[in-house]
Amino acid sequence: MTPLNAEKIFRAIAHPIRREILIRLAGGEKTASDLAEPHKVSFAAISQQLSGLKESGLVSERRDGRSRIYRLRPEGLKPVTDWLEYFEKMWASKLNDLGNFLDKKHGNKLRKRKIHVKTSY
Amino acid sequence: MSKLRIEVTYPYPVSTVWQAFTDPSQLKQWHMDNNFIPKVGHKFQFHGTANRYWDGILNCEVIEVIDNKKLSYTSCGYDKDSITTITYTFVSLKKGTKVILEHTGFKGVGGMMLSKIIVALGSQILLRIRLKKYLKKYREQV
Repeated sequence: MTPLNAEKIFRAIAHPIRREILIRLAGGEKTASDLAEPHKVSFAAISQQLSGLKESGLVSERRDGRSRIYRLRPEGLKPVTDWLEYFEKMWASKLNDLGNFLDKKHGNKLRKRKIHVKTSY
Repeated sequence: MSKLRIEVTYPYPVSTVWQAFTDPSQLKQWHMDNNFIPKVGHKFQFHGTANRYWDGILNCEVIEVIDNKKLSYTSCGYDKDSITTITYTFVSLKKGTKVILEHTGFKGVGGMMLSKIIVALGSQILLRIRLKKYLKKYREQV
């Protein structure tokens, strides 16, 4: 039930190091060597994870002189939030249809109704 | 765990609303074609119109039935990893019936919980603000 572009994001964050990179980038932009530091992993290994994250659209890269600086792209999560939003809309519409169905079945005028939707993560 | 919760109140007694959810012919009229029976362990399907999120068939199993109070079933599309649970709670009120729908269990690839990502990332206040701003901007554009 997950759409392809959301799956891409799930795959990107399936790796614990990639997840940690994202969380650290949420605190502000960093270079690859900043990110490699706490992991005791090679710069090359971090670079590889960063390129995967770039591909998924969750991270962007810019050059500043000699160094490359990485930044989180929260909008990259959009396929995932879209996916949940689809369910919100689908259910709100179904439950509205149910109200119309009941009104018709009982010979009443179609009423407007309040639909409270809340998604928690 | 990610959870979608929707509340709607209908100006009809709980038994009327309950029937709309448990009588397959009524259920078909507002929801989808189905072979539902309100019996725990009953396996059934919903048939709807395919879209980019699913192929039009949901394989479901009834997991809880409390007459006029609660109805719960699991639901699974073509991706076997993505079983979700749908629970309806019915609350009888003076002026009608409140239906609370809860849809839980959204997972990503390999059983990865969606909530893990969003909570991990979303716990960073900065990100939350950025994401909110972005989504607001996006909605305004649409």
